[in-house]
Amino acid sequence: MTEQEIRCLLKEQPEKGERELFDIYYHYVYTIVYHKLCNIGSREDIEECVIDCFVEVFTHINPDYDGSLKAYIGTVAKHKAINAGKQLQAKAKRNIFLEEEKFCELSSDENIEDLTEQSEQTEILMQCISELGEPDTTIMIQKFFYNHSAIEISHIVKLNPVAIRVRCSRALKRLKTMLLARNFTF
Amino acid sequence: MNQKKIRKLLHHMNEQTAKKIADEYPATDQATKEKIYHQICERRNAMNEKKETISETYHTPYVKFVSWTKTFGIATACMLIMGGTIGGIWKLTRLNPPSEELNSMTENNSNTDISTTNQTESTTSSETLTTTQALAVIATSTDVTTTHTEMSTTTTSMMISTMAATMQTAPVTVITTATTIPAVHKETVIISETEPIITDSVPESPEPPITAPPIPETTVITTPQSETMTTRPAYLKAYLEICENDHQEFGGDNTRYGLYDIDKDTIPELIINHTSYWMDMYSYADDQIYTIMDRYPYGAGGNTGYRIYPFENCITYSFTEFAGLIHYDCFLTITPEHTLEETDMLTSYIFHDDNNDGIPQEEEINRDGSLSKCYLNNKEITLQEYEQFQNEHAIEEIGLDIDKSYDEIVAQLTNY
Repeated sequence: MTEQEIRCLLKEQPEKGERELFDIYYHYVYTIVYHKLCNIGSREDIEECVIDCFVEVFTHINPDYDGSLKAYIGTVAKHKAINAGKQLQAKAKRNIFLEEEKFCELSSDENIEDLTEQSEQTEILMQCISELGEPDTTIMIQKFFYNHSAIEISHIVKLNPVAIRVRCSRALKRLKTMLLARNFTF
Repeated sequence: MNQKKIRKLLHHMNEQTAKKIADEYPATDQATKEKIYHQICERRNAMNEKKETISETYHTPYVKFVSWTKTFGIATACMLIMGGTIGGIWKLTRLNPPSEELNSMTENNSNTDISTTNQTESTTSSETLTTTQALAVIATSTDVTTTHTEMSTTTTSMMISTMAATMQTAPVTVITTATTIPAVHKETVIISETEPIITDSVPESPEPPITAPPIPETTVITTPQSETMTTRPAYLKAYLEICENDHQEFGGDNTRYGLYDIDKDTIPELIINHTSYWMDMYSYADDQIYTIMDRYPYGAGGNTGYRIYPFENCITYSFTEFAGLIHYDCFLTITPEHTLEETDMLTSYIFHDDNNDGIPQEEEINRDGSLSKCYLNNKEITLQEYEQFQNEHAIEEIGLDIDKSYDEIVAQLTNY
């Protein structure tokens, strides 16, 4: 379904249009939120943020808006996730007041050199994972990016958990060979 | 293969890569998606109801005022009632002293003296009597008269009965005169009550023996942490020795070490993983080391390694036969005797074994990888029971935590 069709459906049958919108962009929103919150929040926090995103979109969406729906939804998801991340970090009390004396001594954890190297390594890793072929690529992403268990992966790729584990271990071996061939060091 | 590093790299990917993954791969299963959609609908309905409620109260401020007044009035009335009840109870307790005080005033404990004086010379005698006895004496005696008036004996007895009602059972000391006195004589009757005197004859209620409250039994559980207050736990030294010996004998950068309390006896087990070759496991109890796993191999026959349940005393591993067409999941537990015992074995066939010989033929293989037969401890079970067993024993890999190098485990054991 194209974005124009979704807009028409939202005007004529709002409930159906919202359901269609949800079906098409659910995984997109979830991944964006997950990417922002995976290191900060739990799975429940991520689901809560996804719910907030869609409630926000359904409440404020204007069917007459001509711009890209995907971009709009992606931006809402990203900002909601950033806000949620800040709230979670505030709860974790990992903040310091500006007035405190130690504030000036604070330095950033980020090491630009390491970050650059990491992003290059991530790109190589993603390339090798996509070269594994289906369903191994999906299994690897579900396991190592989304942190799903074998049983959860089995519901997604429609294989039994035993086969998932066997495929995963074999895929890891193949991945290791491919990465070593590209001088990837662990 | 360092799975932790793969996870770390994927979690720190840039936004473009994340969006690419979002476009191409599903994020969750259908059940989670439906659950989230249902919660979205609920929240929207709740928001719509709240809007209607707010608009109603906004358009009727008078109703709002009335309802607030009602609430306030009810609250005030409740407080007044409660205050009145509490005050009444307090007042009643003050007016009517407890019955124990009354019962403590026994006949022998209080004295009321009635002294009479008269102007005539006469011998007087006094004795302590109970009130009823005194009343009898006074009623029959003509020697006692009240002041100010000349009274007959009957009037006197009426007054005495009235006095008795107020005096209750207080004993009365009556002083009587031996001689009779003419009625015209005015005598002063003085009635006074003295403090009750506790005599030896009053039976004392036996006081309950004073005993100290029982001291609750406390049990002291010595844990490795508490033991470190005074001495380091003995298992640290034993494990350190094992690690040193193992490193000396086999060496290698691929050996990984870990500590994990599998049998939940508060002392962790030492796990040595000779990556891709074999795994050793040691336990410490009763001041000695027990070998739980001695060179348990893996890497061949589809055995990818041993996994430990994080919350139960359970180790699991799997292996295959016929290139994966028969799959075995084995579940082991550490017994109280510090041995490893197999509790369950789950078998699954990825071929329909029509001739029941347990050997897959070419035409029997399920090309789509689906399961045909399942067995639990060699008894056939249905696919649903197989899935249920799998769900109950959902494995979260903890083998990733067995990833300390030799130097790291030595540092951990030394600096515990």
